[in-house]
Amino acid sequence: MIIKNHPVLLLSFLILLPTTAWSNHQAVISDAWIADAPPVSKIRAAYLRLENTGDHPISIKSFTSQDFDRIELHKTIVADGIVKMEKINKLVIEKGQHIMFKPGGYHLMLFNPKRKLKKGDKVKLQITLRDNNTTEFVATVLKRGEHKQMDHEHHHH
Amino acid sequence: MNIKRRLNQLLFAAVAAFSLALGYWYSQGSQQNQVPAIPSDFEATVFPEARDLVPFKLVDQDGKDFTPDNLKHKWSMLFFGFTHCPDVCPTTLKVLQEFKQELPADIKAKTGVVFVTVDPNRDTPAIIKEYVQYFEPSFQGVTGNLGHITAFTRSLGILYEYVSMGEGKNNYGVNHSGQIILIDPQARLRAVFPAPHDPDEMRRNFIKIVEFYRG
Repeated sequence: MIIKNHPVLLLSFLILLPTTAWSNHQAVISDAWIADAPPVSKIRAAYLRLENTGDHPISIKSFTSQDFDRIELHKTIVADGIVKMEKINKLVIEKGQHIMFKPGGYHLMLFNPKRKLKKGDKVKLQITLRDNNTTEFVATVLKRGEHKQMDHEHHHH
Repeated sequence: MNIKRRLNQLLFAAVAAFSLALGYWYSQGSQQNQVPAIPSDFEATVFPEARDLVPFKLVDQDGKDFTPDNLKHKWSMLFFGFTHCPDVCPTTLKVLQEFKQELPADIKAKTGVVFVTVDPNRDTPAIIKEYVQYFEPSFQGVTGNLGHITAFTRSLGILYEYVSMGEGKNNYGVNHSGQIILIDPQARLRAVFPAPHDPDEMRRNFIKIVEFYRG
């Protein structure tokens, strides 16, 4: 009744409705790669660049992939000479900020690959935020030295 | 001035000049033969007195005994980790591969890398073999009885502890010391390289140490 008597209100509501779809693209993932490892390695690492291109903070809920049993987010910490892997249960990225997941720091722990992975293979993964928005991205299997070379190439531009 | 005195003066001058020349040659030659000193900006910690290892008996990737004798006649870089580690251990083994690859040929021929597991319950010889040889075919892997591994690591100042990662008795990670231990050709502890590890810095330190103690 209220809306019917206020066409401007109705119109505004209809126009704003599609903007909720933009929040699907807040978490932008780039440069995602999975480190190549021997078949005997049942726990792999994935690295990437995660940017919050939205206008409010985002909080990561989970990562998933059909190619792995489960995925956890961890951070490598070296303190007093001891190397530890800390499980990260909450990670918030402020608007306009980005986080680099790279060797020796934040990384995805991928448990039990369901298929044999080799250099060059593409793996689909998903990132889900606390608001349950999910974005799919693709990671490429690369040898560790290979990715370092790519980093150097980028820096020489 | 008589001739005799003149001759004495000449002789004196000649001997003086010759002595100076001799002294100069000696100092030049001696500098070339002198071993370079360990600089003050050394990243590794070098033990001025190499320490004998406490006797140990572990198992290598082929299931054979691994004892102090296996560390003789070459320089060995020992790294401690576990194969269920997805980030640090593979990263460090990659660093060790790059470190070794660019060594001068004569030093490289006498350099070994040994990966010692701190997770012998899951890391069997076969698993360790596939794991280390993926990084470099010449790398050795060592496992063994849990008690023996603990004694060995402790004797080198290496610490480790198991931490649960959730449900399941095999669902654990290992916190462990990140330093790399250098053992000399007499199987003695010679130096410690602290984490984080960079291949070029590691190589620079390593070459200096090897050349210093070569004699």
